[in-house]
Order: sequence, then structure tokens, then C-alpha cells
Amino acid sequence: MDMRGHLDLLLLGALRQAGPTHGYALIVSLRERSQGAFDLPEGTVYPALQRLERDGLVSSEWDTSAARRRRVYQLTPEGTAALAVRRREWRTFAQGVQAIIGGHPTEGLA
Amino acid sequence: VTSETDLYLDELFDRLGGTGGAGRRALTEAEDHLRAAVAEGIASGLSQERAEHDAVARFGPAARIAGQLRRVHRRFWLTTLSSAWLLAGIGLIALSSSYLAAAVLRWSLPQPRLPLCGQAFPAVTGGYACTPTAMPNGSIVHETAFAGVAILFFAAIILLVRRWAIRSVLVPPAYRRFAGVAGTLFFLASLYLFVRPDAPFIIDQGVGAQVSTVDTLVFLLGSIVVGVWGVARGVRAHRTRPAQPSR
Repeated sequence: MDMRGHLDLLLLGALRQAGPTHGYALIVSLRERSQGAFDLPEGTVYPALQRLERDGLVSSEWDTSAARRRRVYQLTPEGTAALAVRRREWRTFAQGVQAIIGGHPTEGLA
Repeated sequence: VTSETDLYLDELFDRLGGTGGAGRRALTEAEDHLRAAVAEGIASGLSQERAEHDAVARFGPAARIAGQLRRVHRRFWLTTLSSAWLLAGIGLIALSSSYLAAAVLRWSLPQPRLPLCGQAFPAVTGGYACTPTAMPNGSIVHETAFAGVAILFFAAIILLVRRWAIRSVLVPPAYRRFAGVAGTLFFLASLYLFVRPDAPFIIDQGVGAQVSTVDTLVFLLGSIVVGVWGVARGVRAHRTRPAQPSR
């Protein structure tokens, strides 16, 4: 499944669920929660996080408490608001597609 | 032996040159990510080499990651300035080569007296254009050679200052497609000189041949050199692309 067009939404959603977290943990979370559907090169997450930070949707700071210092990301209030908007847009889009293709969303996933 | 992870980080470092703090941060995050992924692979039973190979392959090509980071932090005007700066330096090297080639031709095929109207850059070459009395061939050789060396020196200063500016993170490197654009411009310049031998800025070689012959060849050679340089960069980038992860 091509996830490229939805990476921002996935990252915002994962950050909301995970809270402040570093890049590697975020990617592991995306991979596990998507049940393997997240198949983008893992390195592409970091430019996407920097883009979200540039746009004010995410903030970050260095965590030096571990053996290696890590950049920890978290949602800003603007990011939380943007997530709500994009989630609504996604649901509207998904409902539209569902209405056309028919069947139950979990059909054939056994 | 340098590990695959270290080789990858070296390549990413090279590709992030000129990105400043954003590049350093990306490199730190990439290293942390790869070390964690390798440790996880080893913990799951993979060998060190296989874990490194899989971690690097899953991370994605360094060129792609660096390209995305550059797009996020792109400074359009600075990158354009850097590209134009490099083009000016290379163009001046071509110009100085043309002057030096002209001097060598005059020296190797001496002509005691030459008509002087139509000389280019009289301010640089000592103002011997359209003088009422023809200058001795030796003087023209000296002045043309001096102009060539002076322009070459000026080009070297321009390129060295640019290099310093890039290392000091004042400007980023040129656009990735710079070689293709510069090579095309040089080729078009050589075509123009070929069809317009009377162009006002052309140096009279004074050897009885079409005055633009040397300039045409210099710019044509320049387009080939720049084109080969661009292809070599592309091949190098292709060769260093990591393999796919094992399944």
C-alpha cells in the first residue's frame, strides 16, 4: 500500500497516541500499529518530521538522559488542531470510497 | 574494516554538506536510528553484517533522504547564488583558457605585424585595439598571455572563496542538476561562437584562421568536461545506493 500521501497524518496520529517520543520509537510504532502496511523507507520519516516542525505542527528537543542523545518530538497545539482537521478529511474520503466500492471495511481481512 | 552503517553515514554526511545545523541533526538522528535498528536485528538472531545490511536498506537511499531534507530546508536564493557563482568561476576559466590558447598560437606561429582592430577586452589586454600602428607580435603574445593568467587567477579566487563559503555554511552547494545545465550552456556558447565568428567579444587569434575557432573549441571542450563530471557524479551516486533488505 502506498503510504506516501498520508505520512503527515500518520505521524501526527502516532505522536498523539505515543506522546513525546523519538524517531526510532515512532517508526516502530507505525510499523507495528499498521500491521506491516507502513512500508516507506524509514529514513523518510525524519525529513517529514522536520517539515512538520517547520510548519509549527510538531516541536522537538534533545533528550540527553540516555546513553545517546535523541531528538524527542511532540505535537504542538497547532498540530493537534491540524490532526483533527485531517482526520475529518480522511474519514470523509474513506466513507466516500467505501460507498463506491461497497462491502464492510474489514471484509476479506481475515 | 568499516561497517556498512559507517559507510552509509559517511555518504549521508557527504550529501548533507552545506545544510548546517539541520544536516548535523539529521545525521545524529540517522546514526541513532541505525544503531538501534542493528541492535534490534542482532537481538532477534541476525548476524552483525546481516543486521547492518537490513537496517541500512530499510532506512532508504542516502541520496533520497538527503534530497528530502534539502527540500525541507531549501534556501532558494542562496542555492541559486551558489550555482551562479560556480558557473561564473568555470566560465572565467574557459575565458582564460581561450586567452592562453591565443597567446600560444601567436607565439608558435609568429607574425611580425598584425592588424589590430576588433580586439576584445582592450582594457584587460592593454588597450591595443585599433591603434594606428600595428603592435609587434611579441607584445601581443605577452599581453594576451598576461590577460589569460590574470583571468585565471581571478577565477581561482572566485572558486576558492566559494569553497570557503560552503565550508563555512554561508552558502549551500550548487543544485544537483548544475552539471547538466552548465554543460548545456557551454555547448550552446560553442555553437554560438561557431556560427558567429564576428561576435564582438571574440579574441583575434591572428593566425589566419577563423577568429572564433579556438574559443569554439574551448567552450566545446568545457561542455564535454562538465558533462563528464555530471555523469561521473550520477554513476557514483548510483553505485553507492544500498541494496534491498533481505526478506
